[in-house]
Amino acid sequence: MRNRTTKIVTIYLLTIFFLLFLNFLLPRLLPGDVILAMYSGYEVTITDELYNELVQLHGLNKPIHVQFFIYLVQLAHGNLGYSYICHAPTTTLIMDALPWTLLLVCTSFVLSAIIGMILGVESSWVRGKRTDQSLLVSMLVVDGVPSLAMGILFLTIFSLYGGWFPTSGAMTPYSNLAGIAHIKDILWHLILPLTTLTLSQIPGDYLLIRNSMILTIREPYVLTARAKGIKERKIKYFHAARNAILPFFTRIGIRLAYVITGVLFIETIFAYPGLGLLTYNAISNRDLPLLQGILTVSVLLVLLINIVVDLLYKKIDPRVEYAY
Amino acid sequence: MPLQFKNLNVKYRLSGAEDNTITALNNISLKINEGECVSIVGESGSGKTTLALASMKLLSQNAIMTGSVVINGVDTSELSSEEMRKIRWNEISIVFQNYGDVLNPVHKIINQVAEPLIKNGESRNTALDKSSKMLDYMKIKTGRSMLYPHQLSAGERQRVLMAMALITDPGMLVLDEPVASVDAITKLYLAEVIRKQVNLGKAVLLITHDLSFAALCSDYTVVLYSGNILESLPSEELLDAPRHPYTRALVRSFPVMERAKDLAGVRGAPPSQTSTPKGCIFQPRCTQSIDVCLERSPQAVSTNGGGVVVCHRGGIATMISVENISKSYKDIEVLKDVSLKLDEGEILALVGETGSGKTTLAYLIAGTIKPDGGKIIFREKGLDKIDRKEFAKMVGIVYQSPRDSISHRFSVFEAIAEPLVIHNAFDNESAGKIKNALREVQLPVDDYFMRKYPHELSGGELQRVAIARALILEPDLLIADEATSFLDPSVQAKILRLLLNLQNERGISMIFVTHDIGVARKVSDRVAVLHDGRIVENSPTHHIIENPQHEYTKRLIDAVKSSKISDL
Repeated sequence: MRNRTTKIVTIYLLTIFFLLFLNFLLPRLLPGDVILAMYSGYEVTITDELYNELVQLHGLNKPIHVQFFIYLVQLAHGNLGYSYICHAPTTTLIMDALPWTLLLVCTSFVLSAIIGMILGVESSWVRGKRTDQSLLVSMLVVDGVPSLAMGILFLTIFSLYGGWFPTSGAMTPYSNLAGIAHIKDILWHLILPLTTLTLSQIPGDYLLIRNSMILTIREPYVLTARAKGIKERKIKYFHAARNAILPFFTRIGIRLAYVITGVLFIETIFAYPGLGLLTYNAISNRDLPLLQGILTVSVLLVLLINIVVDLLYKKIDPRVEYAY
Repeated sequence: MPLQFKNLNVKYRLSGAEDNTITALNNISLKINEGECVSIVGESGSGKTTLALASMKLLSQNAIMTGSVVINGVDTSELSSEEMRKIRWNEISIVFQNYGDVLNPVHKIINQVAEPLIKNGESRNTALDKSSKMLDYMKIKTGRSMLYPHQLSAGERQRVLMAMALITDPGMLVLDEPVASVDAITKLYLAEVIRKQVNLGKAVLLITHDLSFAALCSDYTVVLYSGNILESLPSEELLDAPRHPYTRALVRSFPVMERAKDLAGVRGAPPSQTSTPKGCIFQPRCTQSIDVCLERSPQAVSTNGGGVVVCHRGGIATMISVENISKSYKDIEVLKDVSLKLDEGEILALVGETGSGKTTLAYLIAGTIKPDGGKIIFREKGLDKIDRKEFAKMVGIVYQSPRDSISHRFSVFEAIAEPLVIHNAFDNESAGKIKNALREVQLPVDDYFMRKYPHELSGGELQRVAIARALILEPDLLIADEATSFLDPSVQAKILRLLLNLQNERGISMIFVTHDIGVARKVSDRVAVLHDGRIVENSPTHHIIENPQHEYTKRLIDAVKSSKISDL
């Protein structure tokens, strides 16, 4: 067991190191000059003098491995760079946005997983019947609608015409709400982006679980459970679904990366002040240091979730201990 | 009557057309009483597992079932799934075939064993406590009950399944291959457990392909073939006295410690399940089928052993019965009041020291000499009433001395062709047939060899020519008098294999006269020991070898086994 843990941690450390290096290299690989690219958003003329000064400032005259070392040291200190466009340290900008994204992503991830699983399990149990078929068709339809379109639709109907929900932001500005009212306000702002993000994920979860369930139902242990006279619902969830959800957990890491991409669009549409909106702004303003910082944080986030899932996986499937 | 199957038919619907079905069980009627264990044996695909599933109403959705399964007097076909759920594991439990994930891979075994108790409303602690004791009883080592299925060996999983089946103490047990994955010691322990449950009054349906386990554990054995019951018999007769040719073929395929004869396998393959043949379902693989077997399916006939056999010929037919025969040469009484039987497809070894009357008995059966008293019946007809030529066509004889039995004026080819010529069967294909016969007895087939005369051949070669000649007409009975005595071990082994193959594939019967009990042990199904003109012992070969009853037989076997010469 210890071996397995060490192995997983080593693999992840290597991955992180490699990804950080790639992230470090990325701006340097951009066509043209780094300095020019970085400051292209500024309305200043870069004279030779200024150029040399900037090269000195960013340490670009040093050898590349020294540059990388400095980058790592700065990273270890929590310094992700400085956004010249926002006039603020990147870390501060990201840390302001991160909680909103986490709130949105985590809530929708859990919600869609629960809803998708229940629907998938129930659907597979009555496979081929009307309930299953109508669920399957509607899920495929929902899956076909891009989250971008869905978001715009919701925004138009529920905010612009209906006026039931706010059109932007994560809370009412300058309202000085506190306690329950504050939480209510946050939830009120959360509902539309959350619904959109959740809806866009449910079909994937549903299809995965339904498929996996259909295979699981044929397993001998389901027959064993039935022979034992166990109640239908217990066979369904305790015996079958308990096994059918395993592929879902294996894919959490990959799915999370997709969700983080998805959140970019949704936060932009609803002007939700999370990492997604920040990324959008960084891209449109050509804010390279900020973009680089966001990438680093996302990478670390996805890998962190992955490592947690990997380490916890043997609790979910006792067989994996032997698989390594 | 705890468990009863009444005219049970199960078909499986295949994808495609509505009437595209295969028959899994055909009109099965079976009763299992309290305190009785009935075993079901048969090849894979014979419907054993379908029967197990049907007993608990667990057949898959594409199964079409007619007839009924009665549990404690209740016809389960009329029960709702909720009512059935209450019967399951309370009145009847099952041990599934230990194949794949029969146990849920993500739950600890003790929880899975305890689950039926918890379902019945017992507290979790009591249930776990009872399960732990039950696992202990099934010899799962302490501490291992907290493991997951994949952490146990296959044998341990089998015992967990057994513990799970016994946990609610139901009155009926269905065991599907409960010993397929366990070692001999565990098997014996499981047999004890099963017998104990039977003695406690449980009705046990034991499905197995392990014939010796069926014989050991069960009271009755039912032989299932392609969804049909072919025979049911008391289990103690299963290994030694099966009545149906299929059961006998199964027994011959099954490795038993004591038996030295090579394993055979049932000839041919099971029939296609999509079509139902007109006659007997076993006919294509049967070695003793007659015309009627092709025309209609047979009815069940009671046997004198208390069983039932479904066969037009009433089970394995007797080919020859020798009744109270005696023979003297002048004053010397060679055979005294000898009686024996030879079944269709059976190899009987006649053993005894030289001068014991073996050859005389063989010649009497072959009809070459006449008895002084008693009679010999061949296929229900007295030997004296059968046309000699007809009889000679059905019986091949290999005489003891090949040099005397083959005319010195015949070449090898002519000697082997002679029976064909006599029976007007010599045609264009005969030359090929003769070559084939020579090949089978491991002789060369070139023209040079076939033109040789007996004096040019060695004793061993000549003996093989005699064997080829005896087999050229494809006889039903082969009487071989010391037919392998001149052969070197390698050739002898090949000839014995050929003979066994003929027995298995063509159902040939054989009287194998030999003084070598070691050879008899390898080829024969039964051994008759002749001593001073009497049969002193006549039993299945492995009984004679393992447990000789007569003083003379013991001496005969000891003489073969002894590796030391005692000081004179």
